[in-house]
Amino acid sequence: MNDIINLVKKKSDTVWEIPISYKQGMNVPVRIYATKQLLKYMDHQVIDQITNVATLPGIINYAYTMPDAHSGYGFPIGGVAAMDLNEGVISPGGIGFDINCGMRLVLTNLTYTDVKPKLRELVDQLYDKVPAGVGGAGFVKVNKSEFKEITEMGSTWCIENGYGWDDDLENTEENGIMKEANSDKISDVAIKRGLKQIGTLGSGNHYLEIQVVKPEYIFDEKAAKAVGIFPNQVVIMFHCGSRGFGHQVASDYLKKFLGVMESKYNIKILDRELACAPFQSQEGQDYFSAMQCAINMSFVNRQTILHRIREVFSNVFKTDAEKLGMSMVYDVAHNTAKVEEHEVDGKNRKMIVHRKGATRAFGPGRAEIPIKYRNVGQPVIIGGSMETGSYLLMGTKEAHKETFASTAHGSGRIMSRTKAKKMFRGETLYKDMLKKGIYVRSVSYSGLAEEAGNAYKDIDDVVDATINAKISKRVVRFIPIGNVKG
Amino acid sequence: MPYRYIDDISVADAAIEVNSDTLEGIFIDSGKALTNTMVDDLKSIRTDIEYSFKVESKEIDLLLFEFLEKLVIEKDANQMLFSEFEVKINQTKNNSIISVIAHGEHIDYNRHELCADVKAVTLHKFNLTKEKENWKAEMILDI
Repeated sequence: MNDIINLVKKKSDTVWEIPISYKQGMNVPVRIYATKQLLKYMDHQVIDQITNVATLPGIINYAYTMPDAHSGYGFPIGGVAAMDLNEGVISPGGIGFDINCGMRLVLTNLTYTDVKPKLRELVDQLYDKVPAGVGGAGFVKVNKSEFKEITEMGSTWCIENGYGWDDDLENTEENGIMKEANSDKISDVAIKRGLKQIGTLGSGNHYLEIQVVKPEYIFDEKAAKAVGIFPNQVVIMFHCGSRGFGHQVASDYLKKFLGVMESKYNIKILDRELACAPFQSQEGQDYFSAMQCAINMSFVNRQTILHRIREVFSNVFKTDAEKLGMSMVYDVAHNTAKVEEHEVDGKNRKMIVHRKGATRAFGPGRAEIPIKYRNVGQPVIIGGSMETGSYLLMGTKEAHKETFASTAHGSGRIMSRTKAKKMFRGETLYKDMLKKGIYVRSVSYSGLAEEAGNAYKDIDDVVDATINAKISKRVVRFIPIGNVKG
Repeated sequence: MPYRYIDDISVADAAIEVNSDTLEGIFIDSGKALTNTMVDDLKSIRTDIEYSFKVESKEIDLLLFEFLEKLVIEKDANQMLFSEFEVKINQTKNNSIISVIAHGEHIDYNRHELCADVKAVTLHKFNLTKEKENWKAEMILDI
């Protein structure tokens, strides 16, 4: 427990504020979205980091943290900052190393009764077909020029090459392609790191999960119906990003920005991981183009993984994926910076919204949302720990006013990996999960122990906070039954 | 143990402190600590393959950062893990160069007990200092 409660001013049961006077150089106050209980779990570095973010040039309204916030590098994970397009900066640290790390939710028309007898076979085949863990190499073999093409075409490359369905694009944020991506702005080292990684999960908290919709966990029938959810249905959720490629893009530009930030642009920062450049500068625009390449690569990574998932289900159930109803609900990013229009002081204003470990949560009516969801809001996919459960939420109109349409992205860790490994034994955890009806395949027991459910905040507490703060709407809670972990 | 993992500095990632009485020792043990984050038992890594490279930087701490980043890149690009290192550091007034021969092998999913993937070396709280006769490095690896 900490003394953060003494540093913040209560605005409501789920909104807390730190004034500009807290730290020299802050341009805006900080707003923390959390319950009192979640505030107690927050590590002190979150406060240090988000108040550093508040010093960045051009930041609008507030520096925000979401209910799952925990410390990161430069920005906290669960941090949101919107910058003015002309006066503001772009910062790789505000996006995260794993650019366009995100979640994808896929439907089936199968029920738990259909899947239960084949669960082991499904998980074992998924484990074989979707490489996970340290150094995993994917099935998509491309050369350097094809890789560059991928970084500019995003998911459209997958559709052209037989790795997806046409409507997958509609159900992906940005339709799966960032059009301002320019592969001339990415380094050969970044390409070298990403070349073999298309179609791989990665490790850490990245996972692929088979889940069930229990009837009592459908909270909003209208919204659930709009996305194709029904009681006892089996769905697939997975979490991964742009792998080593995105990390290298972020590292390359972090170093470039450190070289020019102070000498050329007279920007002083409080943490090297907050390295930034004016958004409109050559360096800022180069990074924006390179980052979009990483976003596209990540879309391709998730799209090719989806292709493998469809192959596995089709193989196990001896029928086409189409007949199994394996459509996507949505693919949503939680490590990005996007140019968006939001209302500030009664006027619409364009800004670059950094979301690091935070999900875009557009409310009903926004043109960016697929037409079929436009009346209910943008799907928001919140991944929980492998033992507990995950959520489908929707964005709200209130989120636009509160957080520039941003919400949480997951549970948020409360225990370090080393401590988790000391406290939990992977083999025991595996057996305990099996008893609970969750079959897990992991690269190692050690990696499994690091991801124990008790190493995370309670997902329900996090989601409750987003609902009470009105930055999301609760739709469905999913229960895990099968899991592939890196 | 010349390096140790530190709890509660970074909840989501790996925080490491490395101590050595030589600068070369800091580089060698930081390299081992990085690999050890990904593989439980360093002895399970055979040292059949040599990878030679040079890195240079104006700042000695950034030299360590670049050295570690090279190892992460090799892991992603060529599925290589390294457990032994020979290093030679040349320091001039304005520059430092490290020549490295790293010994290791390709990832073997049957023999290596793999843990978390190190995705990046971060500059967050990255520190290399000398106090009296002891060199100390602190780093956080992104998992």
